[in-house]
Amino acid sequence: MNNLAFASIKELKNKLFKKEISHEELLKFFLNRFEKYDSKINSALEVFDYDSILSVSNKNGSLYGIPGIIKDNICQKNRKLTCASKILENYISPYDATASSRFKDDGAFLIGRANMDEFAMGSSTETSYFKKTCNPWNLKAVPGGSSGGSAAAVAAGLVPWALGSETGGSVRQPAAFCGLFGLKPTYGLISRYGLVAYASSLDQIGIFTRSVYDNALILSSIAGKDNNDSTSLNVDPKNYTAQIDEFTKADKNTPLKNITLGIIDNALEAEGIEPEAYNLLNKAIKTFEKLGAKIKRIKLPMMDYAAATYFVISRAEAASNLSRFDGVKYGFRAKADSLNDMYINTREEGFGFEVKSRILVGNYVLSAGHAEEFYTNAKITQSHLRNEFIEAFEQIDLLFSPVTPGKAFEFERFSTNKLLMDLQDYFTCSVNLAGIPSLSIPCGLTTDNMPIGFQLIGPDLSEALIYQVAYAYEQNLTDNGLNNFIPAGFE
Amino acid sequence: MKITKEEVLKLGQISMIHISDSEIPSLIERLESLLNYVCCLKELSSQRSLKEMPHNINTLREDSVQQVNPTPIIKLAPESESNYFVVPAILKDHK
Repeated sequence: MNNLAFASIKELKNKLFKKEISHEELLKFFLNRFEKYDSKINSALEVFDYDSILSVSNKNGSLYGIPGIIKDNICQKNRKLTCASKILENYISPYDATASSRFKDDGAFLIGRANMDEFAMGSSTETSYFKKTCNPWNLKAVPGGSSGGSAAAVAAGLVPWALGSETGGSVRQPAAFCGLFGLKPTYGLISRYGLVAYASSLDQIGIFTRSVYDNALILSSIAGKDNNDSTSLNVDPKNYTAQIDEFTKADKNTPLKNITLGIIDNALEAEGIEPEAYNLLNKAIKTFEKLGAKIKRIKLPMMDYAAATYFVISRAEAASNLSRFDGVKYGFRAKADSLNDMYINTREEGFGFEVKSRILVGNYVLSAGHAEEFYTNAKITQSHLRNEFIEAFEQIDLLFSPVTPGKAFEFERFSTNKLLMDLQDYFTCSVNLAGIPSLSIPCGLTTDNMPIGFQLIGPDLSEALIYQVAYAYEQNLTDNGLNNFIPAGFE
Repeated sequence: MKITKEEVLKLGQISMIHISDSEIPSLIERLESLLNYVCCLKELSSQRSLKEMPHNINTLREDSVQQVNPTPIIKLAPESESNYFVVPAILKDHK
């Protein structure tokens, strides 16, 4: 195993501190990793040059020297920002997203732009205008989506962390497919300033890492109130690693004896979960029992309506948000003799099929005669869905649920049935609708060496608790807590 | 439920996206399958009288004027003239 490529951020910081390696050498090392391996998986739309990466990072920052890649819908100043779309092919962002600028203040090396589904619309990264990203665990399989590039880069040991974004599961699902930890934070915890909007009431930046501690470290860098985002919560930045080992230190054998874990029965027993995934999920539950957690099985009936609710609300908001791409001020502009033709030709040629179809659906569910039937009902259902979670958390600390029906599927699997592709969001989107946090956690490999994950869902602003419970689980999986999920061919 | 070609073209108009004839069949299929799936929301609300509950609350801030340097923004324009974005005329025959 390549010790450096799959080292945790914690270990890398230690090596830098002890001067076992310099910051410059470490950056060169990861840039070489991309050069050597990224042609296999195509995780990056662009890898930046050495000098420009170094020039914007604060040498005194707590993450100085730690490289990561950012999904290409999050602004990095003076870098291209395409959202994997033709309509933004040559757009250069004139500003940093809050997340990007906070990383730069902390000294992190922003190494490039990660591939994604076009405008974050998809579950496989197949709708990217530019290229297809492969899952490092099986090059014929998808990495998941829409943050597939970010997930693939971390899974292949090209970077120790990456940012993605979630609207319906686009961090947790690729994390599960690639054997990673993927956080979807409480809505409003991470600023959306500089995140290109898909569905503004659902979007959140998410984090990929190979360990729980690393995930908490990255969150600590970027979470917290931002005046540039009026939907950001009034929460101060804090250190999410501070008490991460509180349970394991207090009781090595049954660290979770004071935790009640609720298994979402109608999710775990849902039709369509692959048998091997089902077994691995149940094995994870047994691990939690062994660690002392009280297990309760509960049903959340409103979850059965989550996908429909999510489809309506996300497409409605997307139709509104994507109306800004019109060829006037930036981006691709089609040839036309009149202004109206310019608008309609630009958007026809600039957007891919999936984006166009979602805009049409969005406008359908908002249009006169349909809005009440679809959009209003969806908003009401959303409220009840959130309420159902809140009631569950009165008796339960965290919820346990699958993330995906099974392992990463092969390319083109859903090309003739796009609804089935949409339903990849089934296990994840209820969390986005409720605005609550969830962490995708790898729990094992199938017999053909493909990762499976589960998720721990918590109430608003329970990230610290989620990390503590996940940490106890992770420590139990391996002797030293290091992620042993390393795909063949990238060691 | 069935979606007609006319509805797709009307949606294209509302969405400001030109729809070519070749795209219509696949768009119809896409719309129909999704809308048929989400019809369950209508059934849910008629089975149970779900009252609307507040969730998202709007936040306001003080209106403050900021000076922004237009140069980096104008540089991104497909066509510009000093600090103006240039676009085709609104009417085809307008001179």
